[in-house]
Amino acid sequence: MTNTRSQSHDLTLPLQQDCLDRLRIGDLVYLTGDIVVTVGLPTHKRMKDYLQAGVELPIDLKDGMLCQVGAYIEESGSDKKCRYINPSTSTRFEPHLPAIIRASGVKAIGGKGGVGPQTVEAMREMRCVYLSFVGGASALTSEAVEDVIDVAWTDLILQFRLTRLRVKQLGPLTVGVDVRGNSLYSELQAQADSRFEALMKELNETRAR
Amino acid sequence: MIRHDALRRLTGDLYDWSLKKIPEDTKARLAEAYAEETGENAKKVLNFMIRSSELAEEHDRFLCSDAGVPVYSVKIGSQARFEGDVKSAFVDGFGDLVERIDPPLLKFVQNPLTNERSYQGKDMPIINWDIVDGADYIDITCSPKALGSGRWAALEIFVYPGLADIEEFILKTVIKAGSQHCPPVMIGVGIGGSFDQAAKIAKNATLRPMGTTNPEPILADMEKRLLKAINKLGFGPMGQGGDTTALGIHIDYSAGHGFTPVAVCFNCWINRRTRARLYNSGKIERIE
Repeated sequence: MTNTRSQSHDLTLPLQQDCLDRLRIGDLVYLTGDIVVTVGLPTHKRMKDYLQAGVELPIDLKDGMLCQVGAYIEESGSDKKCRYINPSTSTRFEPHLPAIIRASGVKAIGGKGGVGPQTVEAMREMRCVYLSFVGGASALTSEAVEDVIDVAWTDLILQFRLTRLRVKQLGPLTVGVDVRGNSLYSELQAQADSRFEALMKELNETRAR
Repeated sequence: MIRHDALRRLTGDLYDWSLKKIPEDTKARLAEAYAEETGENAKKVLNFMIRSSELAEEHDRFLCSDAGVPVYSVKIGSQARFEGDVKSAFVDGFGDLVERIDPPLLKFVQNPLTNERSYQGKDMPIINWDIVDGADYIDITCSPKALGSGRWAALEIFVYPGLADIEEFILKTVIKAGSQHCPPVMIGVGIGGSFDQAAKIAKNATLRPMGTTNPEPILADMEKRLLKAINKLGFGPMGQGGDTTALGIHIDYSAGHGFTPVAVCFNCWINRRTRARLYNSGKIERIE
């Protein structure tokens, strides 16, 4: 079952495999370095298509972190400023994530709400982790963004572009899936399923009429 | 006479306010949940949520980057008198807001046929209209909706269900949503009426102030027992384990035919909601 004594880790990007191997589900992580963000479904599809065709991505993901995180980037001349960021639901990108994980060398996926079994399997194979943001906490999460390093695929709308952000002490992010393929989400789902019958019994027994 | 420009400004303002401040009742419930939560990580997550919402309010920032789409529940008093068009005040109010809001909005309005995104679209903003007999005001609640929690709403049409069948469906819907709708959530349930009415009741139930119970004893009992059961599922804040999966569950009903639709919907922990009344006299009363 879930890690009862969760540890806190400071990680820097690019990510080192031995640091990732030490993470267990339920641990908290603070990240410093460059992350790549997008919430575009077309973007994820394009990434998958490029990787499968052997075409290089405009922003390399090797040993990096790809986040399902939306960002508002304001441009004045060549200056780019990030006004805010916030995570999106990762399962939306499920059809593309396993292929991206297998082909890009990415070491962490970030988002909220977790990922499904096929993505977890790809993570286990590639010894990659899933880190969960606190959703809806944009004000605090955005504080960690220091700079906008690169924006690619500008033919897409703002939040769909591939954006490289420099962050400092981004977190707390919770380890939702570890390199061994343990998933906090499938554990909690199984726990809820196992409690269902007893809870229904309790509901039936305590009903006033 | 309710002036067009005042109504236009107010509809935009309500959306703006809803994006930057958590309703007072929700704030109080989060603090209560934090005090009662026994999970160590869960407490940290709740604390992060509370601190972030304080920061958003203090610095006029967004609670969530996903502004969703503006959804209004509007009640027009039968004695209210309007200068100019009413519906266009909402459409134009949203248009004005897109121009003036800071930080700016990302594009969330999507054409479902082409998947193109913009700030405008057919039937946008989404408005549910109602009438209040005798009142001399327009009462507007803005509760913008995004995908995070919106995706997990469900509706099923039962034939002569018992209360156990209804409760089972609600619990199963919550289990299916699991960790994905940014818990702790506010749950709305609509029982009866027709397909569309059940969904409307469920949505309206989420707008009811937290801590209130349905005056119908059967539903008050259901709300109390279901909240307890849901929080025993163990998903916890942001689905990281813990005692706080829901902040509240509000259930309402309408009479209907022997087939009984049951609708369940969710608001994420920030529970965006603002409400105001604009009177014939020009007075604006902010309710939430």
